[in-house]
Amino acid sequence: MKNKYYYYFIIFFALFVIIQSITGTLMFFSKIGYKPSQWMEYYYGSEEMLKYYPQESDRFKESLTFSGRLKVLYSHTLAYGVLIFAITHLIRSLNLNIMNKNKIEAIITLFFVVAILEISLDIMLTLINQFKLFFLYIRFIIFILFIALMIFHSFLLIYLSYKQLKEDELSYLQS
Amino acid sequence: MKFLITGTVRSNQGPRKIVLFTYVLFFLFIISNFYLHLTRISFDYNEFIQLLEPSFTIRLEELHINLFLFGMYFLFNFAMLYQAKFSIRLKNIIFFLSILYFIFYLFCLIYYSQQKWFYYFYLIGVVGFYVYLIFFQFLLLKDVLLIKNEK
Repeated sequence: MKNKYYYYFIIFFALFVIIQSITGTLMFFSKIGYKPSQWMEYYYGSEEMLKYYPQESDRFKESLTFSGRLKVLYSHTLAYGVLIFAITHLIRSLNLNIMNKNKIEAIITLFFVVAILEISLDIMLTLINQFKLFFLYIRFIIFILFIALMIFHSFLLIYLSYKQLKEDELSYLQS
Repeated sequence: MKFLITGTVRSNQGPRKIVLFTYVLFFLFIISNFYLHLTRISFDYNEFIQLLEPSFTIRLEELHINLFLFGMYFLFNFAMLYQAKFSIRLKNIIFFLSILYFIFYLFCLIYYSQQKWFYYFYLIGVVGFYVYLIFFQFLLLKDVLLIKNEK
């Protein structure tokens, strides 16, 4: 990597991943909501929600279907796969001797596991008949964890690009 | 992906055919996306404000999808841009112009106004962005097609 602008567009890419994570979070909250009663209503409809939260008002919403969530799943699995592959591939390539490689591998593995859980829990919720509220909480925690990991990896990419840029400049000056 | 980082697309074993066909698909992506936008808007101001999406959630969804698509598109194409045989000055101009235009485009997707200034702003931001991308993609395609003649 001889051209310093290469690092700049990796930073640019990481910044757009951060913005994308923010828009994804905004969409999550504007569609699903921020209260457990709203999550319940979004996934299982107003009737089911009123069994758990009778004080809430009836908005006559229908429950989500398996085929409806499948449409979301199929597009997101490809997007997650490509995006996480690009981020982690760049992190591994840039981490020549800056950070502990085993730790980086562990964080990357965790990122993939959380992404798989995030996407599969969404569709699994339409199949669950027991402990609905418990799984809704799990789904919410996993989503927050996924967004946090996405932003963390983006910042890690920015940090590694910056470090490599400085190292390249230093070695150029020394030569 | 390795050639994106090592910058070996111009070597004898460089994956030029792969890059060439990827560019053809990118052209299709730009043209189809451009056409999709053209069907959604009108060049007449009164019709334009009728067709503009008032729901913030739907506009946010569109922004979210476009961030992913163009994020990946630019990641690949900027890596190729710095392997192209242009002057470093031209590369830098294209790089910063693309980022600025992309931010302008994203703003047009998320903002909502029925005022006349936004109508012109939208046309320049969205229609202009796709015209710019066709030019940008053509520049890169031309460079890849010319590699063979260098040997």
